[in-house]
Amino acid sequence: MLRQASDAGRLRTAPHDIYQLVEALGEPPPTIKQQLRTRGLLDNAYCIVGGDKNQERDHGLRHFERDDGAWFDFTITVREHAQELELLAYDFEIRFPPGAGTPFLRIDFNLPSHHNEDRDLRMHVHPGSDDIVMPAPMMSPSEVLGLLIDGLRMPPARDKPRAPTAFEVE
Amino acid sequence: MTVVAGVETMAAGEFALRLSMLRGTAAYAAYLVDTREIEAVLVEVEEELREVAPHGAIARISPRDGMQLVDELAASSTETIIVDTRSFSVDDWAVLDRRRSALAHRGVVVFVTTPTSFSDLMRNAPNLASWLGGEVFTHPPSNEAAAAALRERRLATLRAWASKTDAEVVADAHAGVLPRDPEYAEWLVLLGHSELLGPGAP
Amino acid sequence: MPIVPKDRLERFRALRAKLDPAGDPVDAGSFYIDSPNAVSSRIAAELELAPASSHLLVGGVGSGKTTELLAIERRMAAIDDVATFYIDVSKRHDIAKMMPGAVVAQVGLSLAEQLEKTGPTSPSIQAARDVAFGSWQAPDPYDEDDGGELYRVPGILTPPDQVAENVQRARFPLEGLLHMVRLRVRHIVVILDGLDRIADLQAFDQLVHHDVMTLTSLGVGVVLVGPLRALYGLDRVLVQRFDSFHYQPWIDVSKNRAGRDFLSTVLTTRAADAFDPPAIDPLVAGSGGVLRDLLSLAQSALVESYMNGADRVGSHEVDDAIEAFGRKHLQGVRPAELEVLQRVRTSGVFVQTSEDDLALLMTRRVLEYRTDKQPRYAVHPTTDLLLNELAR
Repeated sequence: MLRQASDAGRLRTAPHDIYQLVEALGEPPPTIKQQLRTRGLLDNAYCIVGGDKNQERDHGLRHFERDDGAWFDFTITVREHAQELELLAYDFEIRFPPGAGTPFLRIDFNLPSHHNEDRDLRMHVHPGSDDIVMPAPMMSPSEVLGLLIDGLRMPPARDKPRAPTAFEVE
Repeated sequence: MTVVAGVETMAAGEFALRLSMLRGTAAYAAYLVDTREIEAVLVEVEEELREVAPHGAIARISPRDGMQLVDELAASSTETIIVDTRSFSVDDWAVLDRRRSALAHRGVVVFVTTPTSFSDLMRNAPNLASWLGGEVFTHPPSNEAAAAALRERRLATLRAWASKTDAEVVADAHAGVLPRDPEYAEWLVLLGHSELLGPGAP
Repeated sequence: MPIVPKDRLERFRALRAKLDPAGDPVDAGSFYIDSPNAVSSRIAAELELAPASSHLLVGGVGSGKTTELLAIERRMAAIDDVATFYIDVSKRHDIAKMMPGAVVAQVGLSLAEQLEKTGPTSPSIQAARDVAFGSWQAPDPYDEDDGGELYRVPGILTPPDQVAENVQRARFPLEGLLHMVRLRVRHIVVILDGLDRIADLQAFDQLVHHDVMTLTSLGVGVVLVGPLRALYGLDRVLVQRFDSFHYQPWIDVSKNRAGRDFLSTVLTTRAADAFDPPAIDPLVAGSGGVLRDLLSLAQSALVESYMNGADRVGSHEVDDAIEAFGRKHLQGVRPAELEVLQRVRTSGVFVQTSEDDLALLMTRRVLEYRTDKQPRYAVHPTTDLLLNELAR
């Protein structure tokens, strides 16, 4: 998907860089590893990452870049059972260029929780705020990736944002 | 045999994408693999090629010698052919070199072979070597090395983020003054100091 | 207006195909450009004056010999009263197993195939096939009806047998075929490609002595590509068996402006829009004047451009292509050879004292130039930086 998007010009990220950015990590990153361990899900679990882990939204860390300047990265956590992969969690975050109307969008599918009240929010979206969450329909990682590459764009007929925001991600 | 300056390392996925770029011409490429991993890499290259070019015709062959390869290539119209040449000797490469015109395969031929066999190719098949151009790469080393490289890259990112050295972070952890950011917990784990992650640790 | 593919991969693939050096040179006709001092024009001019003359052409791997042979064929096609046949003798037969008579047999086969397409049938056509591939014959032709057992007469292309007998067997159907061709044209020229890869100079000498002499005795003009070793071999008698000897050298791009311009034109004729202008000179310099390497480097640079997300080939992509080529080119070099290469690189001194030294020339790790009649030696430019680093 990423390579085709690059060939078609929808992603600025070059094919060579795509292969450097997407990795299947032999071991989950430490924080995710800890969470998996407490849930008894660590065996045969690993992460597929696209870009560097980037909580500070630092444009200098490695990421994918769209032709309109929006940029994103992701982490997908899976577990392998006899040739099949079970999806455990993912997070995709896209940051928009100044004036787009929202600074970022984060789509999370959390690891299964022990807490009932969190179960409805296992799949959720952060609409430009780390504090505000809203429930979201279940989507596969490919669907979310497709959304980040091709969706979440200003309509082609519009030459400027309808509702620019003052809150920007530098 | 001395390998003077190794050829560049490239993962199978990226190599497959380069191979797909060669389609449409008569092209040759070589992928150098450790003997112990060749079997798995042959499958991996084929899978990656199918991923990149789902509609392309791909075949994987294991000829016993150069003569058989000449015959099989001459008879084949499959666009991309992955050839297991790990057992090819000096004589086999020499035969291929002499029978170059008979190869005339309109498509991509990928020789998957060991570094030693490839050195034999370079010494005994100058015509074939010249057709390879620069499309020769080495399969990356095993997972341990890759994991170590990944760990080092993450540590470099953390150092740049905090503007601190590993030693300073460890010292702060000992002194109980390490900030509560989860990145510091990860840092300590990467350095092999998870014992410093106390109950009050980040 | 050409349709530009919207997909980057397709666009770069199409550009790369225009620079295809590994393809059949037969397809490259429309891209042919006269090189300065092209041997094809000299050989064609000599054949026009003396159609039954014989010519030996040698040159290094990838120097463009086949391209020049095909250019000769095209030039000869414009001359009335000459029929020219291009034959790659290595295509149907392993040249390492070639015995005298085999080349004559291949010429016979080639003529037979052409005549079969156009003319009336002739026993010579089948005879040429039988001689080449073998046949079943009765011990005595008049005994066939008596059920005498047939025996297999091996073909010359499946050796071995007595030399003189083979050459005579091959000559016989060829004479018949030549007679048929000469009903339409006065002169016949055969262009024989493929023997440059023969490693055994003695075997090559035998083929020349028997087959080429047979062809010239039949009044057939011959252009033969020979092994580069013939240039360095002790036996110069071999070269003297021909009316003319032609050497297709590497182009000394560091000293020969016309040669440099020629190679630049080769690139721009095939795919000018693929390259940023500053990329052309480094590609030409990096090729060392080896035409095939120029096209290989250019193709690699295109792949790098695609992978890097660039629109065209720039200096950065050329550098990457040169490094990758150089790394590959040094694989299999032994320590003693490395010393020789370092000496060539730093002082230009190269003395062929051994088979290994000759191998460095054959494998193009050392390039020989002859611009000023005096030979000049250099390492392949793609290895220059790597060798420099290794020397530290």
